[in-house]
Amino acid sequence: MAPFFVLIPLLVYVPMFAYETYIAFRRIGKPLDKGGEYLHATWESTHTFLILGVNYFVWLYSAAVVEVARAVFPALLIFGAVFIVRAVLYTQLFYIKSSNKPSILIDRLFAWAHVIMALSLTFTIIVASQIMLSGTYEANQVFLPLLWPGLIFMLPLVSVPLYFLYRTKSS
Amino acid sequence: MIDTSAARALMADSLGFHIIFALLGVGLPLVILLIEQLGLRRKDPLILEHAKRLSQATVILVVAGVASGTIISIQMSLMWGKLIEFGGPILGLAFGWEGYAFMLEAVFLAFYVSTWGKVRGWKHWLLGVPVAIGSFGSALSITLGNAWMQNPSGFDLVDGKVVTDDVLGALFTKTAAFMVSHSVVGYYLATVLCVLGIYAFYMLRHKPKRDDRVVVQIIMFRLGATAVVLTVVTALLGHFQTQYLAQSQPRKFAAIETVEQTTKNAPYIIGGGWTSDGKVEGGVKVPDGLSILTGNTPQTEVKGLNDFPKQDWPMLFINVLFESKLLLVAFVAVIPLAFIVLHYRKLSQRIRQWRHSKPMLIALLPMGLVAIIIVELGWMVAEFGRQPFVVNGYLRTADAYSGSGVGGWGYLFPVLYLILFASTGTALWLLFKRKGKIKPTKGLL
Repeated sequence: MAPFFVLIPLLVYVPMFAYETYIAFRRIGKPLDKGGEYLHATWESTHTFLILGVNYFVWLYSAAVVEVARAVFPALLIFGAVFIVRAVLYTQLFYIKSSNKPSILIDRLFAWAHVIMALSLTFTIIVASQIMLSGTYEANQVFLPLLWPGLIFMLPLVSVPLYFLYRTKSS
Repeated sequence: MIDTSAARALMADSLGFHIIFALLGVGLPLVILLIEQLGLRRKDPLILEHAKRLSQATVILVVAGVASGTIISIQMSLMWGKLIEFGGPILGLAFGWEGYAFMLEAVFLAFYVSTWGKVRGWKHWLLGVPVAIGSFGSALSITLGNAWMQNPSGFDLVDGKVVTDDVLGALFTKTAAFMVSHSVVGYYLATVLCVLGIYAFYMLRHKPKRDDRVVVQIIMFRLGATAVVLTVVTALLGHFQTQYLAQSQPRKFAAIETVEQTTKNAPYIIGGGWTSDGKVEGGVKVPDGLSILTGNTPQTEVKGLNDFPKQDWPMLFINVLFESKLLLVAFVAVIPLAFIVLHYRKLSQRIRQWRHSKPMLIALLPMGLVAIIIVELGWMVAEFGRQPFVVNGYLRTADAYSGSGVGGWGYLFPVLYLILFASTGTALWLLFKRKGKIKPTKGLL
């Protein structure tokens, strides 16, 4: 059961982040009022799924963390650094920039930040999977009975507002 | 060892940066709900517009909070793997719950902010409730985990591994109760003071007239009164927490309160400091003061730092941090109290009008910043005071390090934090500057 806790949030995260990446490229060079918008209302929601997946992996498979950490150290820190850069660019694009005109350079940096994040995360997941599959790591089962009801309750609960948010942005 | 220090410094930078956004993330949803319900009860669209503006500011803060929170999660996994390995069976539940709480907060915040004017009245207010619950849950979960690290219990150590069949019992302890209540109420207080400062700025800069002025004055009075109540509650909780600290973590308590030798009739020393060999220098002594504060009688015995081996001493400068915190608490307590007292109707009109005078508004401006510094100092005392252990008495910080090699990352992230801090600050400034005075719009009621 433990692997599902890691896989479910990550499987939800991947298409959501892929969609954000698509929007980030689609908006390059467009003014804010003509297709240059972004999923600003969901920006912070999407990444909660990543955090959830990472959290679960780390704490359920705590015996593997040291080995995995050594193998993915640079890749995951690159992800983290670019994540901050992306947040800065996001703030610049949607809250600081005063004119409606597009800023091609910032637009491109913003879009490519998504790609770098996706690449470093993919590398991390592949390396971590290899380590996990080649070793025998037991999950911390003791707190699982206190954790799974939350997952069953939370996913449907948050999917309702998420559905409306994405639908609003798609239309 | 140098690499361990670099990892500690990086983690401290990350936590110090994140906590600013975390505390506002915990406090702002509640403050916004309070203002929105005020607007709904008075059927006043102008008050609702104030709540809406604050909710937009919250989104900007959450952008920085999510980024820094994710980095902490990553850095903790990468650098402190042995802590995770050791404490995993217990800490895992706290951090798992934190994930749920954070998800609830983030998703409903996005929904709440994007539905202003689309969902109206109390239905919209209800959409904000999960945000406040989620943010509280986040703080609760993280603090439960930290409390276990401060005063670990509820497990057996078998072959160096934590074994437990009662995770809830290990997390929900007396230490956790004190830490959660004191810190969360402190976050609410700091946020209320930040918003009060924003309104003081609004009054000074925009000089609102008629309806808007009345609305701002009403909101400021509510915030001021809330701040006074929360200050009293936080101070009392802090006092009881420190009393319990003397029993549960005497090593840290001795370092904070500059207690050299175990003694009864221990004096309370104001302004004293430690020498590197564990002697207390300087300061003004209040006879029996510490014994009375600790156990309510002068006969209360207080443990001294010299009862503990030197290699287990915490960082001794924490007493300076603690005293600085108390000094700032006094500052934060007095000014909002003066602001509220000046509203008392039996005072003469000449005195009452000082409540919205320029000097009073200027005095209120920095209250939020000071309160944030107090929260930072509080956590510094807690964390530095637990050293050299990361899980108190069981796992030393140096032994918890994964040995991944921090290198240049230790310089990169603080620089990135500063840039993110600057851009977030600029965005907030522009939110209030560009949009200018708050005007009522149709459709919020």
